[in-house]
Amino acid sequence: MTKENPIVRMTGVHKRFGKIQALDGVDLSIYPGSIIGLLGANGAGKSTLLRHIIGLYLPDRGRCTTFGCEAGKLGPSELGRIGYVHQEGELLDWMKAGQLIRYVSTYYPTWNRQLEAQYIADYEISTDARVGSLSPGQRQKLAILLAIGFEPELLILDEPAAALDPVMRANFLDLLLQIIQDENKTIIISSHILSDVEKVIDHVVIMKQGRILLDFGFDELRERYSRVRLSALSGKLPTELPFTNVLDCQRTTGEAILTVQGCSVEQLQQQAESLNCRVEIQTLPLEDIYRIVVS
Amino acid sequence: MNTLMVRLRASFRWRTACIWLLVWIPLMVDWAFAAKLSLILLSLCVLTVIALSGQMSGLQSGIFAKPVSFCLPGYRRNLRTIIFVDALLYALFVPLFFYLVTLSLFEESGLLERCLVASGFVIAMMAVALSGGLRFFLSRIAWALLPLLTFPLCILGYIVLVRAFEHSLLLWPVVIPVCVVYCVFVWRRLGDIERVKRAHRRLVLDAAEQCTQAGGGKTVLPEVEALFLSRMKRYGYTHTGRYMWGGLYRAFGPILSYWRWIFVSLLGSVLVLGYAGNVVQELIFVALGSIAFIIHLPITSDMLLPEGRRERYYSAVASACAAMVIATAAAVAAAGLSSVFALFMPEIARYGLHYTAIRLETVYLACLLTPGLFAFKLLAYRIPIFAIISFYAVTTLVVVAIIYLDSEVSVLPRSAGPVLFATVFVSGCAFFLLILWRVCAKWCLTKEERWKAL
Repeated sequence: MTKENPIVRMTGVHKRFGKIQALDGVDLSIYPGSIIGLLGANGAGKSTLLRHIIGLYLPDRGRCTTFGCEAGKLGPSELGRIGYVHQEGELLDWMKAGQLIRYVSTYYPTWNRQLEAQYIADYEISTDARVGSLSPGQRQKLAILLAIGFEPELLILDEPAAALDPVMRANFLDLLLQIIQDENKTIIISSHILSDVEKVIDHVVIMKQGRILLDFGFDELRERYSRVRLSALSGKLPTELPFTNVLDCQRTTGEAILTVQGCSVEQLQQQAESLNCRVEIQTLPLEDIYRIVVS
Repeated sequence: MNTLMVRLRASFRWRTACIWLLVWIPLMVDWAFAAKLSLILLSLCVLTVIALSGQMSGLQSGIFAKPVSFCLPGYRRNLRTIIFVDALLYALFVPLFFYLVTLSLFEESGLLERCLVASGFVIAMMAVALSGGLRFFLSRIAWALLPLLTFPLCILGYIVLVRAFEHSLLLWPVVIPVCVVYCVFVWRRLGDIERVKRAHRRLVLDAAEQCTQAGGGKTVLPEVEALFLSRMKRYGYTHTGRYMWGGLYRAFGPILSYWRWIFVSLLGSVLVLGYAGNVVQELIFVALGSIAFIIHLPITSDMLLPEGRRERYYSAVASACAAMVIATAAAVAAAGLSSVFALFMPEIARYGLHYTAIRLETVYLACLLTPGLFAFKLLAYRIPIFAIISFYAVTTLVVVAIIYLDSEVSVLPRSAGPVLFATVFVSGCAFFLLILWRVCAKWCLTKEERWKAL
């Protein structure tokens, strides 16, 4: 697929639940091979958006296509290429974990037994335990296995690591990085643990109240926001600092920390030349960028 | 007193109260109308009062087992007060219910009527105290076995009540002191703090075990798993047949894994049902239609499998058809077994009871309600209260139909029965398919309530 052929395309999608406008004119295109971080507060519409992609929800207005097929008409040949993990995802509690794996694998011609065995060993999944008796973390691990076992082209992860402990979260990120090695894989991650997300994503979508506030490449976004630390070499900094597009400024007599938008490193260095001070320019972590965008 | 009020408020919720009212109103109309024609149905309504009280005890034990209970001072001492206040609230409705029933049953005000209305209050009090008492003082094994015995016990209770109504006018004044004595007995037992402590410990342990017991609980039998998976593998990966068998596995896998228990329950029910008479046998068969409420239609699921809306539609149709086949098969088995039992089951002449085989021509009643109830269940996944309202609406229609067809004063000719039932069944099927199509074509396919779906 090329840039002209996104695997997911949403055009003017509206969705309302009673009085709540869950999606409000969402336009989004997702291209193969991209790793997208879908960010937003609780109730921003992230899960609703993801469920439109897999056809669980249909738009009230607008159009949503996945693999070129309308969301409402998705069939086995399209859904068999999509893996989905939901934060409180339903599993069949009355089965043993092994039985559930066998059941789900029966639906997929591409099920990878080797990957399954490796995952079960690495993540210590007890296949004899009843699914209903598993801890939330164990359930989440099982749900992840069921979603990646058939090596889907599009992997949708809705708060995948929320129930995992820090070690397991790190392992899960490693697993994601392994999956990403294959250039054809597309991953959409919705998560509140931004420090984890920023290690893997190459594209950011930020939502608020059913709207997409920002849809940018991650590198591009990081270049857009910078933190400038100025330390006066002698005495104090001038009252007026020669920077434009300053979003935030915290300063003492001899030091200032500025958050600046839309200036390259070169531009910032140029602007700082007139000041007799030491300049440190850093890119912002995703968490800070998210705060700036949302506020 | 504050603690008591907190617990009372915890046990009383407006939503629950509204649901109760919505249960009661159709029931009252239903039975009041039905009882005009038959003492049998009057007995059934008394039994319903007792059966519904089981829900009260479930609520009580639920609150009692919650960890937050520990935070409330004097929670053990207040237990019996809570149970009896709840019982009182429940019991206030019942005399009114009994009054409506007797109003339609007796033309003149008499002793039996007065006794019945008066006894309604104590029967309801006793029923809640009974179920509350059982929950707190039965051993764990006895409590676990109780659901299995419920169905045969209800039929047995019904037979006893019918005889009580038919043969003894003096029995009802006796009921009142017996119920009062039982209530006093439970009140005293619930006042024994040591006993309550033991019961509380057991409830909390049970609740904790349910959460943490690794590998506990019934899982699907390997032979059941093999059966369904082999059927699935017969079809191609994109063939609808694979999804239909997959859906059947999800719907019936857990039920078929309990086949031994189901058979034992069926056997016990048939043993007792033979003494119950034709009308009740038919009613029980109609009630089999409520299988729709325990069968999961594979429509709404967050666990993403590669089944599209079209596959979900066919899968749901297959599951609904299978449910009807299973209900009818259970009815045929019950009729067959009752024919065998009729050969050697004794006549209990003293109480005028004799065993009659279930008529084979009534087995079609078993799947009469199923399609309609499936349709209401689909509607109810977005509006939960709809399930209760619709269940009683449909039951009312069918009970009225049966009474008219079985009663000597029937306004409809007997021959109209098959036509009427065929109409109900076909309309139910059409309604179900229509709703199912609507759900699969337009609605959200997740279980979550709409405001939680964000």
